[in-house]
Amino acid sequence: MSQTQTEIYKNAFSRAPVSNEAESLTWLRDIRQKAYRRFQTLGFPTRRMEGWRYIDLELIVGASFVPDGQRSVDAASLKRFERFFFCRLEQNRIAFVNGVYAKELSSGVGLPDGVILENLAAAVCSRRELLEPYLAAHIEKESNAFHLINTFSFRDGVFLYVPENVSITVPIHILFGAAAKEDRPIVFYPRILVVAEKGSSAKIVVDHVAGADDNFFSNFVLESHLGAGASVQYSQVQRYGQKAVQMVSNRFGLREKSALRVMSFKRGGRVTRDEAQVDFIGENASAFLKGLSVLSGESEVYQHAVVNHHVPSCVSRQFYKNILAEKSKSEFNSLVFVEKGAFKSDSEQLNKNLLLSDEARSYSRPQLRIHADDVSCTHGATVGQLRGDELFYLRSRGFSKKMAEFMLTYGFAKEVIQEVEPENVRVELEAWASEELKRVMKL
Amino acid sequence: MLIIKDLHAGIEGKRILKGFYLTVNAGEVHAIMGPNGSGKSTLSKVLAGDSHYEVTKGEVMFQGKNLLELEPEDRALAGIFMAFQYPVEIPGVNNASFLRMAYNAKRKYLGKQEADPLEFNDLLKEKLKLVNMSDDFLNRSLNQGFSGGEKKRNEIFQMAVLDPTLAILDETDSGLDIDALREVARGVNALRRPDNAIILITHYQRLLDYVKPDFVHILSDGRIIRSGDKELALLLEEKGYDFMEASLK
Repeated sequence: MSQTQTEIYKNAFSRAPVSNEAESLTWLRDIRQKAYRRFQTLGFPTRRMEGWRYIDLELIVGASFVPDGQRSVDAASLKRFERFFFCRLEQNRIAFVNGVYAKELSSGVGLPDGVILENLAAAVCSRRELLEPYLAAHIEKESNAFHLINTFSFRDGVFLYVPENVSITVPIHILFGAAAKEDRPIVFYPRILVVAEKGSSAKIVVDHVAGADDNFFSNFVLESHLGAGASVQYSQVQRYGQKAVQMVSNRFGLREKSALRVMSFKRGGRVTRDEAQVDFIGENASAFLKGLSVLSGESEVYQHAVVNHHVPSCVSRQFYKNILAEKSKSEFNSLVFVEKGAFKSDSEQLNKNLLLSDEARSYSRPQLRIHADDVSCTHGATVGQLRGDELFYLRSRGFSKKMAEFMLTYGFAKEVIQEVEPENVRVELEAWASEELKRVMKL
Repeated sequence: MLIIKDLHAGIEGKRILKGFYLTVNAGEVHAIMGPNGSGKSTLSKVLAGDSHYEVTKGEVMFQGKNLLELEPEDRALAGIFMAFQYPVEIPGVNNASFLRMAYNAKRKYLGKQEADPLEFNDLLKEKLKLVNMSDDFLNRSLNQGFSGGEKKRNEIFQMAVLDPTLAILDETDSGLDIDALREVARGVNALRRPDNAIILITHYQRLLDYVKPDFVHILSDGRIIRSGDKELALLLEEKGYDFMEASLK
């Protein structure tokens, strides 16, 4: 790797970021400074680090992404995102274009009393007492450099607060659209903070979208705190072209008896690194992480998952599938860590890869670190191609070779999609997967 | 309907069929019996178009078409159906929509319009009864988690829905208990018509108690060594394959 490009990138962060925030936001400035100091201590990742072994950081640091100075969004760029709306959702939508809050694209059907859904830039000004205990609360222990960069650089995003025992039945749709010309790649730092208090529940669709040629770097952070007995479901969808770069850092903190479900769907992007970290801080909580990537061209997806069983009797599941066409590449790198005393921990890690081309690659590394007795932890990984006997069976029923290949591939994808809730989101995702596979398989 | 002449075929360089002849006319049921390794499964796979098998010599004509030149899907559309000895599990593909697509693909091939969804549903329910399967089968993934008997019944169910001109049943009776065998036989008998034909490939005589064949052929070492009527199967049951083979030498 060329040292110079990395140096250029590092130099961009060689001085502490200049805060242009108001005097009243010293608490936020403190957080940013902590993040920056931590970043300086850790330094920029290198390929010698386990979590960054396969990723070509040159693809990120090599492009001169410039922060988008734009503070408002023009009508033309708004128009192009309308096609990405989940039409069957009569949802509450909050939208951003290039990281900038797009009020015109946002809509709501009315939320239960006490629920707060607003853009983060507004929330930090008026809701310090709600944000401060949660926003970047563990930043001094954070080890992902991009998460730290986001923390000292983010300008806007979403704050969702669900009060005790309140259920949001209509899904919330968070849309991050990107529009950037090829010759002027930009960078932005979207961030979401979700606080679901004791006994509350919510369904959230986080949607990252862009056109085929948009060239940008989205450095995204999601922090989600689940109070006792809270239930939160995420559908995270990435619909990018072949040029975008995205770093995702998800941090989930789960108190007792809370339930987290994350379904993650990805298409496109030049490089995507998605890191999900779950911390069980209360007993009898559960976390289900599932994902499906449909990749073609030179798209690369690096899926990292860390589940920390700090306390006893929690259940975690990781189930990630990749469909890889052309020269695409995927990595599944997951770790389940069972701390001393976290007995009756129950975890499964499974990664399945379907290669549609000889040039596609997948790496799979599910890992376990167990420091407690009386636990149930399993892991597995498969890499394969479509099976000849399955193809022949379908062809013998009158389906063309291409159709049979599509049916088997769609069947592979469906195992993940069929569990998505609510149903209207599932129906849209099924249609999306079918369309995407037809495109990738040239049907 | 089907004329096979001097067929030689094998797999991975191994010669299995060595000069196989068979003529099947509309309205006929032929049973092909033989010991393990005689070439029974090779015959069904070659007729259905499994590319793992290599045909080195011979000719197969189906309704005037050179079958060996057709892709498996074109053979299916032309009216051939093979019930698999080991049906494949296909996760994520719903049984009912799979059948609807297969049914409509065939209708399209025949120049007909797609089936009305409601009428097609009625058809599915009617055919399900034939093999004594419940409606839940329709919403399950194709063969996934099915027991051996359920898979075989599902093959006959598919056959009943797709209504082939020539059905080839590859050891459909193997592994079935007597009740399942009767249900499978009932499905096969319901399909018998003057305008279609059935080839039953089997190791044992017992299926032939329920589906009465017009002709019985004994296959040994890749060719038919003896043909006859139902009595031949009974003789075979009594004397065994070794005796039949020895008596011809």
